[in-house]
Amino acid sequence: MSLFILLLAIAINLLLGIVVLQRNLKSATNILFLLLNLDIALWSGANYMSVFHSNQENAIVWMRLVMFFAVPQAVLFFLLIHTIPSMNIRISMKWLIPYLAAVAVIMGLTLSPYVFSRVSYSNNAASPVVEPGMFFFVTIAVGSLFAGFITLYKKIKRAEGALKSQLKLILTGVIIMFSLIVLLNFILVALFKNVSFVYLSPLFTLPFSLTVAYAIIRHRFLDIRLIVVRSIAYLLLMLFIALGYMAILFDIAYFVNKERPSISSFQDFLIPSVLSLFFAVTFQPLQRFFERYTNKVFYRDRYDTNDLLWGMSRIMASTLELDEISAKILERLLSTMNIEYGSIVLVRKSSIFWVHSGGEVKNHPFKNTDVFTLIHDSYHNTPHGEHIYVFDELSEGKVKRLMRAQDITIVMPLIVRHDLVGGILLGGKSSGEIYASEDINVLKIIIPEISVAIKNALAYEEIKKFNITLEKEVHRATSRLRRANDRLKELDQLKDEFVSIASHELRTPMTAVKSYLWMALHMPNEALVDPLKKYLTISYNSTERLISLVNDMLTVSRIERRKIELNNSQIDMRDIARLVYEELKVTADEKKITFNYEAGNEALSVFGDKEKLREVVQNIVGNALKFTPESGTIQISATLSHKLIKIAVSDTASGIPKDQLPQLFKKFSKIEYSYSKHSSQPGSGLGLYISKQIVSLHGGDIAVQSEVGKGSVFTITLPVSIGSHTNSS
Amino acid sequence: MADHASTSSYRILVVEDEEYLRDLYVQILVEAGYSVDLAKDGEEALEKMAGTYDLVLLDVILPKMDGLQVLDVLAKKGIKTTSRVVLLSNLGQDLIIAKATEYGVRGYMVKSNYTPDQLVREVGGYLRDEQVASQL
Repeated sequence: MSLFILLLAIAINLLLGIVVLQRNLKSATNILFLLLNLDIALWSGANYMSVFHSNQENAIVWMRLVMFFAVPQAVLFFLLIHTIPSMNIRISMKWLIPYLAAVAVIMGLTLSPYVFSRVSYSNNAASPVVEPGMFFFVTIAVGSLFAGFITLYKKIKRAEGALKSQLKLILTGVIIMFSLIVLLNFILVALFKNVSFVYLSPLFTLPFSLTVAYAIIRHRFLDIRLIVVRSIAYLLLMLFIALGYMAILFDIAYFVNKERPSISSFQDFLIPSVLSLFFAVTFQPLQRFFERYTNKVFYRDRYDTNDLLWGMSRIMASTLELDEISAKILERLLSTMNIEYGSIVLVRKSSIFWVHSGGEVKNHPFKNTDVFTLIHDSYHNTPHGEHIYVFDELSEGKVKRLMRAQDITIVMPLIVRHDLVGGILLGGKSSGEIYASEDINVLKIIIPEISVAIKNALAYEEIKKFNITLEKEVHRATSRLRRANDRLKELDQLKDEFVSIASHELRTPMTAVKSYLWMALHMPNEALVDPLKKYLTISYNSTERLISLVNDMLTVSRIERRKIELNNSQIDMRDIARLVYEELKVTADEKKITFNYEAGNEALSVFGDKEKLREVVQNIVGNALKFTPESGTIQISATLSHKLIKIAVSDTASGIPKDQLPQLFKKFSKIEYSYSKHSSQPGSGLGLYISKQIVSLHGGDIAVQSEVGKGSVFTITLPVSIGSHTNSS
Repeated sequence: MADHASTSSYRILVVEDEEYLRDLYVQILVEAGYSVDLAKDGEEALEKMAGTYDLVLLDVILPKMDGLQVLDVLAKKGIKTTSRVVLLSNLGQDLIIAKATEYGVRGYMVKSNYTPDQLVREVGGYLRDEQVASQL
């Protein structure tokens, strides 16, 4: 039996050592652990041999070997505690080399007669004779163990989060190991002379080895606490059932038989059957009760997963405001999971543009570039597409370094349809515990929901912002336009005033010149000497031209500012045409021009400004007279066809080249001007432009047909007024 | 000459700030047989228009008070003499004409468009119209 226990212990120790080393071949922690387990295995073997399989000759050798292997146990214990969880031994060479040298010397010493000189036998039991060299053994062994304890205690005090949990676990293992050793190997043996548990002693180091192994490997999927808790719950259940079963069985048996039960009757068969049924029925509720009870004791942080999920869903459905939803999500998450602090971060392109933090925020502001890198990598570079970084599960590297620097324990990306929206960063748990697998699973369930909710809130935010911006833009543009409009109105008014003043100022002296020239030309009783009369006439005509030029410019200005007012009345275009014809007949006769006017009997009624339309007709006919050479022909006709009144003026002037026709009705038309120059009465170059504008104001048009060498036809078209049309038809 | 006799009974007030034109109007109107009085600015015009004239030739742009202001004051005082006023100006804007018409002036002449004989003919026309109107 004791050999089996020994072999089992050795096997487990070696297995643990190898498994741990495999996790990381280069880590000093893992190597030290293997060495320690190896040493424990050797020490257990030596111990077994020294107790059970030694004769008088080799007993001293086994005993010395026990001491030999005991030294490195203490030393490795200290080194391991000091190193864990780092990759390198953190004692400087200056101290390490003398320490290891002393260890080597003392190990050598344990094999010499200066520690154990011989074996003495009393009461058939062998015991070594201790020599002064023992002092060195005790110093190094107890000293190292003590140093190990101190180191462990200090480390636990300093550590946080996962490391703290690991060290506490190790401490538990150490305490269990020493308790077992002290209780079963020392107290029982020395004080009660009971050696019945000594054969189990190789197993006593296992609690330590197991806890250290777990602490080193530390993977949440082997959540040891959960296993322990479930085991305890199950043990309690079993104990309760067994005790209850037995108690009830005995009581009933006693009640029925008034004596100790003996299984021989029908009742003996019936009662256990009924009881079995009873316990089968009560098993489930009992199990639940014990689970709940143990959970309460061992998991003070525990929460109801469904409660959290339901609460989160409700939060996400409650609002679309980004700040509000983030605050609520964080608050709920942090308080439920007992997390110290957390942040929701939103990213765009390659930067963070929005952060909301909750809890006791330690490390703010974040270093944004690092946080972005973490979020980005958690989306793109996590193994198996897990999309989560848990600090305690990462091996040393860039990500772990960044998380340590920012004091972040968990990074999860917020992803919506393969787009990285942002991330959630969580700090450690307030209790210093590590995240349990249950926490991680819950996070994995709710993060996609949170992502969508945040994305929606963001979209809503952007729409709101866009609306506000749009409103501002419209407002700005409108007020700009309004200012521009006001300014234009102001300028327009200034222009009005200027034109009005300028025309007045120009016309006043011209009126004086014109009038006095007229007076000079019309002096009674004194015939002017011929050249003087000619000069005065030219001066008078030029003044007239100047005045008409000012008048035309004034008219153009008024037309363009739409300040022209039509003094409309019902008029007959035949009258106007005849009036112009009669006025200009004298001039035509002087030039020996054949001048004709023809119109029908039908009234050509137009609702329009009589004076202005007369000016138009006069302008057109006047032009014809100007350009038509002597003995030419000018024909005026007034007709009505298809509800349109047409005043056509045809001449036998030189005609206008086709390419120049489009220029004819423009302001200061070069063609009109150049033709005017040949005339004895040159115009302003504005006449046709003004005429066309006035006719347009009446809803009509002026068109021209011309053939070079033959002549031109100008046609004024005006809509017939409705009243007159009914009259005439 | 018969014309002379019939016109001499008419009194005309010429309101004109430009000396050369004032002289011209006085000369041609006196030659035509009218009795002519003068005013050089708006205020003087307002004073003199309290008297009785058969016709007032009122310039628009004047020192101290312009023609439209003169008409405005007269209209506010309720004096009906505006119907004997003909505006004689070099301003030709439709808006001013429209405003003047609101005050009930008889007519509006753009100075530069009239030769002296045309002006005398127009004045004769206005006075004849009034005579016809008063006889009716």
